Amino acid sequence: MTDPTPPPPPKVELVKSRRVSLIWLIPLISVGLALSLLWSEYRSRGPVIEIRLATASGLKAGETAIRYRDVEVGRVEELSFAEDLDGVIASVRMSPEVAPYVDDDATFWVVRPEVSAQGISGLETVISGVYIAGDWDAEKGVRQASFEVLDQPPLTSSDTPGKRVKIRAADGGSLSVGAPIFFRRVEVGRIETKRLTADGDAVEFDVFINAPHDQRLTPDTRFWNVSGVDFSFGAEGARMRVGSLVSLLQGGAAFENLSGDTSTVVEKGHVYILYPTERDAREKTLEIDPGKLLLLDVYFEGSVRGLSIGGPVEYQGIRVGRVTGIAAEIDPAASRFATRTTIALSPQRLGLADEDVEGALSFMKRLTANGVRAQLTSGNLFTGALIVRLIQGGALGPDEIEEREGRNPRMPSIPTDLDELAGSVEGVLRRVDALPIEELLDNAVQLLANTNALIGSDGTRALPGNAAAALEALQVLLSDPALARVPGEVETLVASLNTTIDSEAVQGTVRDLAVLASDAAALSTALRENDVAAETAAAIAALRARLEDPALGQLVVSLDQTASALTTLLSNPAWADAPAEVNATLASLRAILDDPGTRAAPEELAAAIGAARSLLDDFKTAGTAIEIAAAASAARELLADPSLRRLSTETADAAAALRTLLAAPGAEDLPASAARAMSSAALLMDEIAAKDLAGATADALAEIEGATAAVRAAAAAAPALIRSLTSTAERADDLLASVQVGSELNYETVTAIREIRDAARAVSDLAQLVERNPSAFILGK
Amino acid sequence: MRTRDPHIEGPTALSSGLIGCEICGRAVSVGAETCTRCGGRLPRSGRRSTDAVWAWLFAGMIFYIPANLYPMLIASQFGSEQASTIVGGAIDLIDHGSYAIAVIVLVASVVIPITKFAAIIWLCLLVRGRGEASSHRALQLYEVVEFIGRWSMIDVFVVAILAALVQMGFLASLQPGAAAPFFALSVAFTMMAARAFDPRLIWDRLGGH
Repeated sequence: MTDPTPPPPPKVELVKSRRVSLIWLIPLISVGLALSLLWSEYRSRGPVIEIRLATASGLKAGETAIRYRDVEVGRVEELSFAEDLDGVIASVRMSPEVAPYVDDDATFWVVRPEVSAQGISGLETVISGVYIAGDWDAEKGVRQASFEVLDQPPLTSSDTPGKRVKIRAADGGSLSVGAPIFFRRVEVGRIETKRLTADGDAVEFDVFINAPHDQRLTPDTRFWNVSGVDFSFGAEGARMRVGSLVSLLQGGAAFENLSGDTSTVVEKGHVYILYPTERDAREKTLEIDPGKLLLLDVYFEGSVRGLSIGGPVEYQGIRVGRVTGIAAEIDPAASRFATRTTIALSPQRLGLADEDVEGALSFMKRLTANGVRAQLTSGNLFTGALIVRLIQGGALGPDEIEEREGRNPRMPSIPTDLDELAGSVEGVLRRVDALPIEELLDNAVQLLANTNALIGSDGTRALPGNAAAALEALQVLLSDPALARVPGEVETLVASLNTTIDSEAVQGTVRDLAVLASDAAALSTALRENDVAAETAAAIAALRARLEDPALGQLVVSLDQTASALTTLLSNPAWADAPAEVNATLASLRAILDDPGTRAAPEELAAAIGAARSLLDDFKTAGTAIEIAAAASAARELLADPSLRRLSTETADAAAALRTLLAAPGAEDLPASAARAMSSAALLMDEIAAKDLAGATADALAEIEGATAAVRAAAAAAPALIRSLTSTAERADDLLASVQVGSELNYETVTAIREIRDAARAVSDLAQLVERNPSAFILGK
Repeated sequence: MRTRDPHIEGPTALSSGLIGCEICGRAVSVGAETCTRCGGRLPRSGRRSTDAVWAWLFAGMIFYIPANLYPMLIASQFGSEQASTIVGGAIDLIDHGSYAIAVIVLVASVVIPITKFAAIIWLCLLVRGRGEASSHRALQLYEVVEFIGRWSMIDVFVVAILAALVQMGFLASLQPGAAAPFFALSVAFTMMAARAFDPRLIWDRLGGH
């Protein structure tokens, strides 16, 4: 058995491998990978910007995202306080691809859920939390490191085509951010911001007008406020405008290009003035800033009721300013109450350069030196509104505007001519009132009473009876048989006359008469030339005046007496023989005519006429015409003699005394005598029924009756008329209410209709009064 | 002074000029490049080099850095995202009172990996002859490291499973963060380092001669 010895262990040499193992590639690759990751991470980190906020409400460091067009482009890494602790600074890591665009025009705002008039926005942030939205244009600019966050999100994103302009207004009014801008009632833009100007004198709005409407903005474009309901009730009457519903909620503005020239387009950021109303914009009456206006204090005497703030100030019919303040003031010196009215005058409206307040003041001083004063005048008859008018009314001289320390200069005023003002309305009424209606009625009543008395007098009553008796006697006379023969005698007489006339002599006489007539015509011509006619006319007029004298009343009596005498005469039996005597006379006349002597008469007559003709010739030649004229003149003088006039006056006095006498016998007798007068008048009427007088009187009475009936019918119809007027007015009211509420015309129409209605009511009242008491209409009571 | 223990002292394969093939077990003389039976590669020096251990270890440590800097998990709830790193998540859990889970997360994600790095470094230094330690203790440490190293992957598994399960759209969703793959790689490389370590080196330092 062999003890196998183990083979000697081979010489083992633990060789240290000097070769670097390939396994070391793994950590190298790892390092490379890690480094490349770190590098790419570093490369992908954008710049950090700082956004300053008032509060960090809803923001979380490391979570809150920055979004641009709703894509996350950054994240808030850190929230810290600003140095002065008055804000929060959010450090935001922006993504590198947008970082170059975040330059000075970038804006940031916090998106939160918001419910506004434009709608609900940011609803998704209710759950996801707020985020910061950013907006910038697509142009790379100089990088900016810190930004202020906006209070409100911009309404228009930066890449919206359009133009931003500014409008300035005296106050913020009803315009709110987001309010629409209209062009011809089409929404073309929005109000983006609203802020006070640096000096606090005005409010400035940023307005964005969308393309292509921004091309309509020219230097002549005017903006005005169309917020909600625009109702003005002033010196120019009432007017109302209602805008769109959105503008009711948010306000709104409109613009229009007044010149129509669209070739010049304004630059971005142009500043416009916002006028309060479209009318102001069109009239360009405005004055944005009180500092650019001349303010004057005016102290008016008496009430300033009817004057309103904003009311116009006019000079020579042109509006040069407006009333900006009305206040009360105690005048310590005089210890009395004074009303101070502040007016603002626009230098531009005065024809001076804009904002030239000093120039305007010196201009006003010159005006006041020339006598111009402020005065309250009626601007509108219906509303009673007052306006301030600069009017030529004061004394010339150094009465200038009084400049006062620390207060507005004082402009002198003159008292309001309110009497004249009221007169324009009340004058007519007063003149109607001043008409002597009562006296007129009194006179009419007296006239009627006098007529009554005249008719009722005994003489007048006896007149018809006497006349009848006279006529009767005349009839008896005429029915005498003897009278029947008279025609035959007359016929014979006429025949013999004919014979006479046919004779040569008579013919010659006729010819002579013709010559005489022509001479007379010549004479009359001469007379006319010598104004004899005029004198005669005057004489006749005087005569007529006398004849018309009231004394004629006596004539009736004398007429009556004459008639009685005539009756007596006619009833004398001697009259019965008269026909016979007439007959005899006629017979003797015939005998005379048949007498040869009478036959010779024509020749003699002709001779007489010839003598008359020569006499007329003498007249003509001897200026007798002038003498006649003188005689006529003397006659006229005689007629115009004061004694005659006195006679008339005395007669009038006598009549007056008579009237007094008639009125005197006592009121108790009056009805009785009136009744008697009426009955006697009735008697008279009956008696003279056939006469024209009675007929005419009856006609007149019938007409009066008819007139009364017509008046009554009219009065009866009046209520219906008034009703229909009222309903018309109401219908007109309804119509006006349903139609566009607005124009001045409408208002004035309404007012006019109301006045017509009032007038109708007054007529109605009058008619009822007349109906109840007709005599009042006549007696004036 | 080393104690001479007859059970520990004594001949080894290497001292006899032999090494065993790690694949088929054939004893091959030291110096052979490949196994005579299976053809598997053999370490020329008879022991695997610690170079590989160092290499894997470094790779794992490098990836461990981003794994802690980047968020591990991105939770989005109602649209709001919350990204948390490993340590940040653990702190959040502590804030919410979940101490046990926080401890688990911290142990699995922080304590174990760092302990592993330290243990492997220590073992490598030990076999280079630096430091004094019982070979039995070193071996126990090595076994613990190799066993427990895989559990560090629990974090990655949790992230993967949650990201797959919690996908409820807008209400809530979880997504793995950038740290997850780094952490996974880090754990994997550390495990590779542990595997690359040749435990026989622990005993070789005792010397067979």
